[in-house]
Amino acid sequence: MSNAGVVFDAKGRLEPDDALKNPAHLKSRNYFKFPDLEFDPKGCYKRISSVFDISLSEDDFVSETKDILSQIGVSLGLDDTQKIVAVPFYTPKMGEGDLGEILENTLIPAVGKSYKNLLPDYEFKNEFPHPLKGHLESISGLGHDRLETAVKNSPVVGVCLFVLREYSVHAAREQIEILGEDFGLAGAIDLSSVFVSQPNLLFHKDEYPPLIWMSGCQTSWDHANFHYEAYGYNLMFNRRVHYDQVAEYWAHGVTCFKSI
Amino acid sequence: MSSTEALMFDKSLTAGEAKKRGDLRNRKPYIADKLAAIADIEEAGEISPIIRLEKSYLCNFQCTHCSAEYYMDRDLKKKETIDDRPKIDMDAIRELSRQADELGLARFVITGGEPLVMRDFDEVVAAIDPDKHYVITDTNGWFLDEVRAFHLKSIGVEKVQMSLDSFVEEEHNSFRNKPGSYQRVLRGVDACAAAGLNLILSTVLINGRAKTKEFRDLCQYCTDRGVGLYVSYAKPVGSATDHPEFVIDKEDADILREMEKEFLVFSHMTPSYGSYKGCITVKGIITVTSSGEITPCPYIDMSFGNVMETPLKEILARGMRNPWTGPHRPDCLIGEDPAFINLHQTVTAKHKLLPVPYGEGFKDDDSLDRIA
Repeated sequence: MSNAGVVFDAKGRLEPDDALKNPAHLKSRNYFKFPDLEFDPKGCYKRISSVFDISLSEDDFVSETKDILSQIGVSLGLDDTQKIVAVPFYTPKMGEGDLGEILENTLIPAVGKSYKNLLPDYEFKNEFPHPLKGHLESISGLGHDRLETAVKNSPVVGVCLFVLREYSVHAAREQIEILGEDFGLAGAIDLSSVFVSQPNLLFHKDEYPPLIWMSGCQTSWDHANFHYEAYGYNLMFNRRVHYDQVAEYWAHGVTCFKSI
Repeated sequence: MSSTEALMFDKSLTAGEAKKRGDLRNRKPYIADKLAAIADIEEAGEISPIIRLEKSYLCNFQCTHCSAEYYMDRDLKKKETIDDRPKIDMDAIRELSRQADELGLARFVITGGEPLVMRDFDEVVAAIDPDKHYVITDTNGWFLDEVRAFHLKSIGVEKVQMSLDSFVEEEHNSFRNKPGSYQRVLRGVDACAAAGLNLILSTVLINGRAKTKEFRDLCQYCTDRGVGLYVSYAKPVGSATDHPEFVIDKEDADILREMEKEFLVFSHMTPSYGSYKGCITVKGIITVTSSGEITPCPYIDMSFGNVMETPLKEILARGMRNPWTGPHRPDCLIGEDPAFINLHQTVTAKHKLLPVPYGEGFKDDDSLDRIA
């Protein structure tokens, strides 16, 4: 993995490649912020294991995810002082099935359970009022398709980075292709797994956190996609129109994973 | 299932809301169809803002926080300024109504000033066309007795939005600088109920108020009466420009978000029946000033164009292209974002006549790191 030439700003945002054809902000004023969370595989393991039957030990989870993070650091030329938002995650074997159904019946309830475990005074809500079956699929070649195939057969561990901020959905898709095939654009499976692992990723009392798109997936609507978003101290899953625009509120996940 | 059908079976609607929508459908099916189609419009990537119409700024109150103060004759007189810009007339309103209808827009709010002191109020309602658009009027409640409420209903007004700034009588009267105004609001509540007018009460949230017993009592009163309480964040504009201490912080907004679970209370940021706009600039609301300028929210005094010169469709498109107002954001741009508040104050301070014309405030090549 090598991506010499990528540039991060002081807040850990990957600056958009000059070749992007779709809109992304050249610079960020960093108005929407993730809370200050450490990379904490031990804490994540505890939360994951309260929701999923996890098939590896805490030590193995810590070691595997630290190893993935370390490889990402080398690949992206990150030094130890560079602050990036990174969350370790675990996804159990999902077997065959429609991605929308897996999201609705397995992953979203798991996010809800983990959120309630960590933040019992607040709520996670699926605000999308219709069944998800048939409304969601991985985009070929952007990484989430590989993840979807992988979890049909075995669990995976991975790390999701939130370095793509203030990119339009289409620009994030372009940028991930530039990063190369070791990186995937997060979608339904990895983002939901991230919120099981770190349900307070968007819980911020002092600042507004960003919205995270499932941009590694496409939906049955041209200008809309699914996302996770905070509402005050609460978390919601929903669908929203993105108008093919860029907004400083918008973020996307970049994932590296390994089957186990 | 179309959105129209979906609404009929939408279990997320309260029984009261479903009844109101059913009643509207029986009386005004054209409007009911347009309202029901809003979800489809948004799903297709289009927008459907409410149009606030400020035909006149005449008002019998002088409130501490009035956002329209700088548009009023009394303020222009102080500044020794004459507003000689062309004003919207009934033909302009009819044309605005036609363009709005063509775009599928369905809702007009008559505001001001105090709408119920306008001599041509009925003519304005007719020009909007209450058979094509859902018509709402703002009011401070002073002139809203039962006779007036029945009259409003008879000319096609569907809903009243009345201001109540404290549940403590003296505080409301003091904030509104009008003794007796609190009692007039309570009379107005009863008058709307008698006349079958939909009603929401509106109140201004200043810093710290969300934590007070008074605010909680007001929320409880509205919930008990089945009347929605619309909470507007205080903005440092108009006569509140010199009150930066009014501006709320995120904690105030988050307390309100938690109270929405318990009471019939909402702000312009509140998710509503499947619609989650966040800041509603352009996407959820626009204001047409008396000079025909269109601003993206009642509290932003910078225009995206003049409806007497530029098609409404193009003005909305400008707003949606703008990096401040177009894309979705979860906070209130003019009520919470310090950089925008500063930009707005700096730009508007240079102009005696508001709003600031397009190109001098908002512009084609706007950017988020712009300094006024």
